[in-house]
Amino acid sequence: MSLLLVKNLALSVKDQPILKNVSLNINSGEIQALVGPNGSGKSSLVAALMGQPAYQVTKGDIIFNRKKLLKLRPDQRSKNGLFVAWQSPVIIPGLKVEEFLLKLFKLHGREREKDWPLLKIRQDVARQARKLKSVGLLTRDLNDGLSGGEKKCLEALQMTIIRPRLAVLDEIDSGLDIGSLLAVGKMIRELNRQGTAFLIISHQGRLLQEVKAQKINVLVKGKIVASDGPRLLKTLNRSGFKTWLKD
Amino acid sequence: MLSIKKISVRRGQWEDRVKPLTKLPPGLSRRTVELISDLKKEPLWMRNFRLKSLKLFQQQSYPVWGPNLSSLNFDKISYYSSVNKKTELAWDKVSPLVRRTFARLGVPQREAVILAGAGAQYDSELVYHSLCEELKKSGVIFLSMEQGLVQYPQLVKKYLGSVIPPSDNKLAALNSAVWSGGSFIYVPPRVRLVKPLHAYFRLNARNLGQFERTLIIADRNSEVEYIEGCTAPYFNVDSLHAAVVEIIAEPGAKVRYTTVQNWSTSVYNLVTKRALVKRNAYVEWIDGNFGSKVTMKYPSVILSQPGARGKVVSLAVAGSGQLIDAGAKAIHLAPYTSSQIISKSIAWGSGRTSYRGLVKVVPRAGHSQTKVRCDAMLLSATAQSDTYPCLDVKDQQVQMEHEATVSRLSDEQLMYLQSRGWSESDAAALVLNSFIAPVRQALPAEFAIELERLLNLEMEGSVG
Repeated sequence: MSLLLVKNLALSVKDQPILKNVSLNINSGEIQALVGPNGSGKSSLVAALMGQPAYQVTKGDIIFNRKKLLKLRPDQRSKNGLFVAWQSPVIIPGLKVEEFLLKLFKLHGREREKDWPLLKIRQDVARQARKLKSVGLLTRDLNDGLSGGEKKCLEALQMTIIRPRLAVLDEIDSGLDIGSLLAVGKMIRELNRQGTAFLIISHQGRLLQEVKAQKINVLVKGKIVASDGPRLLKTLNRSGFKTWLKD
Repeated sequence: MLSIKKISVRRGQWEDRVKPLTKLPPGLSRRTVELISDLKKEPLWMRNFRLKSLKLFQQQSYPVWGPNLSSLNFDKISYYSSVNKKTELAWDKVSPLVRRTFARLGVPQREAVILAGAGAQYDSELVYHSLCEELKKSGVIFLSMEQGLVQYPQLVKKYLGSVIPPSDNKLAALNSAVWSGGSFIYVPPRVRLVKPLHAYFRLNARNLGQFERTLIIADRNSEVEYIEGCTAPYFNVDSLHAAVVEIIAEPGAKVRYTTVQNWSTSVYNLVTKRALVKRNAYVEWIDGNFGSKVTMKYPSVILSQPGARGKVVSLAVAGSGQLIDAGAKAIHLAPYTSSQIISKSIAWGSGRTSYRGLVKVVPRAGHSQTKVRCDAMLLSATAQSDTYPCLDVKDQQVQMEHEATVSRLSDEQLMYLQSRGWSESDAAALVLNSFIAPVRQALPAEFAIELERLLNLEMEGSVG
């Protein structure tokens, strides 16, 4: 069943066209990848999916979970099960990570699930943090003074707490050491088993192999130029985006 | 793009229709001071203290730094107004209209639950003052300054003006000349108050000056916490609040003084607060400034003997038409003393906040430590924030830290939280509440909740 359907999407920022005609279809529980050279419009697509006001949709439509996504505010998109792991998470001074994660837990109705008492929520958060070896993060201010990799771990941690229908991960693997990368890969597989679909944006094949991405989409100059199964990764590893950059 | 339309601060701005029993006509002269002294039937030494202070007020000029006060006209202000004949010990003796106001402000309710004692000042006089019996028995004194002067003249004479002499600054001289109301507190050695004392100041009459005078003496190894709150209705003429608060912390004593200032934006709030901190004593000022047209306030700790410690935590929130010039002073006069200053400010609309701080360490006050942190947040393009830190360190062996930041509530922060499920206004509230977290954590729980309700954000947002 189609979870996310992007139909002939065109996108502008300050009246500069970024995406020309992008179509994507992700089914429930599917893992897909989006790859492409720098500046091809991958992060712009992510911003538009979450509804950043600066990204104007000039054409096309997005259907998510049977709803017209463009009509929803960003917080409604989140509540409907859309999650984005941002490439550059922002700092919020004074907001302790643990406090923030507990708020997330409540905001997304997770505490109702198994009658979670606060202590159990804390334990769950700590358990997930241990997997990422980032227990030390819990007492820090949100994204303040964290390394690139630590910020990415924190994005992954939020994802596991929210348990979205679809998680869009914008270069979650950049800045991660190999250990953390494998831990994040494991988290993705685990969430996927519980039904979460993924759109993973990456410059490295490692994470995509790790999670066994079923479909690879190639975005070049604002257009999807190829979509295929995992074997497309081999072509990419061999010759990059040369084939599509020629014309 | 997003912008904050309004931070509505709940101000308690209604005007009570209470007719004063006595109100002096506007203007300040020797006669005004004598009238106030007559009304209070004071001893001669206090009358002379007032008259001497009036001379100092007339001789002194405004400080050359800080907000411009030239539009404040001292001749248009009335220096005394009262609605009651005496300070009552029970709320049901207080006149119903006045009682209702304090009930709306939550004073009796808090008193019943979390306080050891409460005082309520309406315009120039205290209408109510009470202390729980148990503390009275242990020798704690909690009275209006007038009652203190009658019952403990020697203590008042010894300590009044000992930390802040009338010559200290123009407004301290003015307060010393026309003071009325305020609290007199004495805590005997080794007595520890578990619950705080609370004083509420209501300035209801138009163009009135409120000049309460508070003196807190914490004897050896005692502990006391004092909380003051303030509100006033808004008038199109200026009112003035010029208080003086003196604290003496004897060796080993602990004092915490918390202020939640929420004057209307027609009030000039020019306050001098200072604590003398002796050997191994600790004084903490928690100072929340939300209201007023202009505030100038720099709670100070004078660390006079080895081991003395002081902390000043302040929060300022200024909207359009408001200038809050606040900060702290820490004067290290002895070795092994330590001070900590945390200042947070939020400016929105065309509001302006300033941090002004002085840390002074004299020679031979070595092995002392000082830590200053001031953070400002701007919520609009027209909001303004300035920082004027002054470090005057004359000893080599001092550990110093100073950190200052200015930031804006950014669209990126709001977007990040919205993408996690927070609505736009909840996202803004979360960012602001996180920013002021260090101050909120310093407040007693009841007041921390009050603080969150006080800052009610209204956002104007449009997509596209």
